[in-house]
Amino acid sequence: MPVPNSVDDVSTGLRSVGYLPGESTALVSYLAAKLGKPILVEGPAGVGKTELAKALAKYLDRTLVRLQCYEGLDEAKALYEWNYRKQLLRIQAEADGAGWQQVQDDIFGPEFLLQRPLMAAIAAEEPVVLLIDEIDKTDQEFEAMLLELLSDFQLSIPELGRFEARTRPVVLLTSNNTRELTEALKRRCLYLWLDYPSLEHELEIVKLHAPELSDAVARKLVEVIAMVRELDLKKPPSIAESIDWARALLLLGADDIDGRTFTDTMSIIVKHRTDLDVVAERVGVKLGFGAASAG
Amino acid sequence: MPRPPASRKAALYGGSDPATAPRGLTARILELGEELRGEGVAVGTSELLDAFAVLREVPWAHPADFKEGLAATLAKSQEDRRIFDLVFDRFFFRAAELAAVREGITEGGGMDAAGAELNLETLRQQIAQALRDGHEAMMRDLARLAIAAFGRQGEGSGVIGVDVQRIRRALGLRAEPQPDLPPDDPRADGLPRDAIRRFEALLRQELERRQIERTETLPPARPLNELDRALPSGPLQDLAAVHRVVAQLKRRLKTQGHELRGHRRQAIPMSSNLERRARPCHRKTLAPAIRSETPVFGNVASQRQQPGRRGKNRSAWSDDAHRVRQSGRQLAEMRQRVRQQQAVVGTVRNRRFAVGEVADIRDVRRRNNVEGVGAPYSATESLRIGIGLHFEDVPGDEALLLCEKRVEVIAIDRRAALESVRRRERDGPAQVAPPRPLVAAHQRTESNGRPRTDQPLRLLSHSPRSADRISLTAVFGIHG
Repeated sequence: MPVPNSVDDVSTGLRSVGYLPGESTALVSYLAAKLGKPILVEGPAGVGKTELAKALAKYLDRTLVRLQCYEGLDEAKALYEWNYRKQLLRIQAEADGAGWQQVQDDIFGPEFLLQRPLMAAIAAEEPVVLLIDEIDKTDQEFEAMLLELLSDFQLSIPELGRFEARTRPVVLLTSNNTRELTEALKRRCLYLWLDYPSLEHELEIVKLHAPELSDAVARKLVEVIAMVRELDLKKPPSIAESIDWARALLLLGADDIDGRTFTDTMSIIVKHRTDLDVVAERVGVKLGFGAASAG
Repeated sequence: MPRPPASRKAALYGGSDPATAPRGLTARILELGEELRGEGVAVGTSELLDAFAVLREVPWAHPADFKEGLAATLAKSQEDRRIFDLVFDRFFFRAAELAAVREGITEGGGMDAAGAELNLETLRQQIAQALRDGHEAMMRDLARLAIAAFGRQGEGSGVIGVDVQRIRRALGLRAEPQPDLPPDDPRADGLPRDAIRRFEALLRQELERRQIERTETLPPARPLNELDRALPSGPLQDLAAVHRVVAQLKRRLKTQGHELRGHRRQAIPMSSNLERRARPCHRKTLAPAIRSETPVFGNVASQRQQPGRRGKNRSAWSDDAHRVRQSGRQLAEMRQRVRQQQAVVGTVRNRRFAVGEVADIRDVRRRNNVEGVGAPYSATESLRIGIGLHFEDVPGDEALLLCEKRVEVIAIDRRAALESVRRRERDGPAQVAPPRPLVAAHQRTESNGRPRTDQPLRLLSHSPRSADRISLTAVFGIHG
């Protein structure tokens, strides 16, 4: 299990598993691993927040435990749950003479505990990477419940007492910034804002994931993507969509991105009807679609 | 009783002068935390402890890592990060200058002497190229040269901001393209706005540095909004910023329903006045409201209400949440009175109308045994509940206003109405066309053949009574 000793170690390690981190990403990941602090990763959708957790797990050779958050997520789905059916069976199988205390001791034990992701991360024998994905989708009560876990890496179960983490997990919380998280939660985390990458950085990412794409097409692709992101769209294209587009162009055997190619394939990067109109009008024309169609 | 300290910064050093404050990185980090708190960033003790922990892992001599490490612990949102960047630059610039003043270190004036030998045009182009490349170190060096060349040492205005702008103008740094310049000039296509801002900041910093060297004192720290024009600087600007955000949110909310249905936002040509006003999402608000007998009857009359006439203009439809309650009651009342065969009137742009019918359109169709194009309500095939609005004796020009301005109320057949009015103007009363449906086929459906759902109200007919007055009948429909 590799232990990073410097920011460069993390940067190299993440690159080795196919994730090209920016400077601040490598630095904050290194600090999180060294200081044992959770990272709160915010940024628009599709910039690689979840991928960062996956890449860290791969690089650190740890299991990834993922909790996907949604509205209404509660303790039973995130922490633990008692296995009521098993408890009931146990009570029914209990001898007639068993007293209340004996039954209670029997049924509230680890054997009857169903572990959910947070509990699993705490109870793991080997250190894990815990990804709490899209934390902004949950409500504040759930955030409050996380505080004990994030600060002390422990959980309290009323019937059993306190569970402390056997190993210190690397924790990543991701958020699309759709709502403001509580100060208490932020206070416990290192903060990392992931934005759309620079042109050169994105070119590197695209080349990594679609190595067969020619340099000229790859460069034009990221330039067009950058152009599209500058427009006022409902959903600007993400890095994942850039990669998808690159793969689609490869599949189609495109040796250039002209107006026609762009218009035919732009639905890979633009996912709203009004956005399609805007992009076709602004970018398609720049790429010469109007001239091509007129001719 | 001891007096409370004048400021938290003073309290940090037991009321002593910050200039004689303890030296060392720990003290500086605490001061930085104080400055951030002063700018509204929530920096608690735990954040500061985290910052110290980070500095044990990150070498302070590596500026980028040092800054990023502090930012990861002290700035916990994007807004905080923006303030952090500004405060960090200001703080450490001043800290370095203070240390230089204390130690009596100066950079000398060699650059000014070199200024006389500078080729100004080459310098302009070099600066423009550095801005285009985003080369920070080069920009910093060239900023010094620019001050030497254009700063007119000793002839400065005394206000750093003015000098910065004067130098920028002399350099011809503009974001807009400059077609007058030769095509190979880096400024010809315009320069990146962010790079120009950054260069201005460097110029400002260099001018400040010179001022500090000259006076051997630190000037008062400049407010953050001087460092970043995007930051609000006063209550009025705060309010303007809030208004901008609210307007943006409103736009998003109002177009959301249309997006979900996959319709173009502006499928029909509208006047510029209408373009500015997004249409409300009737389907989302009105249909459930009418079904539950507490419909929405919005108060969006745009004209200024006169004192004493309050409430009389409540007649147009809106999905504005604040208006739902009172307007809902109004339409509920209206429905009740229609049932009781009472006359009901409302007002649109001061034009009173009578509510003729509140009915299930499907029932109407069934009752009249009419289907398809040309029949009453033919434009409302997908509508379930229809409310007829009868406008009597509307002057021609006001009919146009009703059609054009109150898009929330009337689904427009602007072209037909316009033609009708023009014809009337041209031909006089004898030539006025007979009443006819005004719903044009091109407005009934989208190009894909689906009925339009964003035009709930249809102008069905008009009946001219005189040369300049007509009657209009429109139906408001709720999609079921």
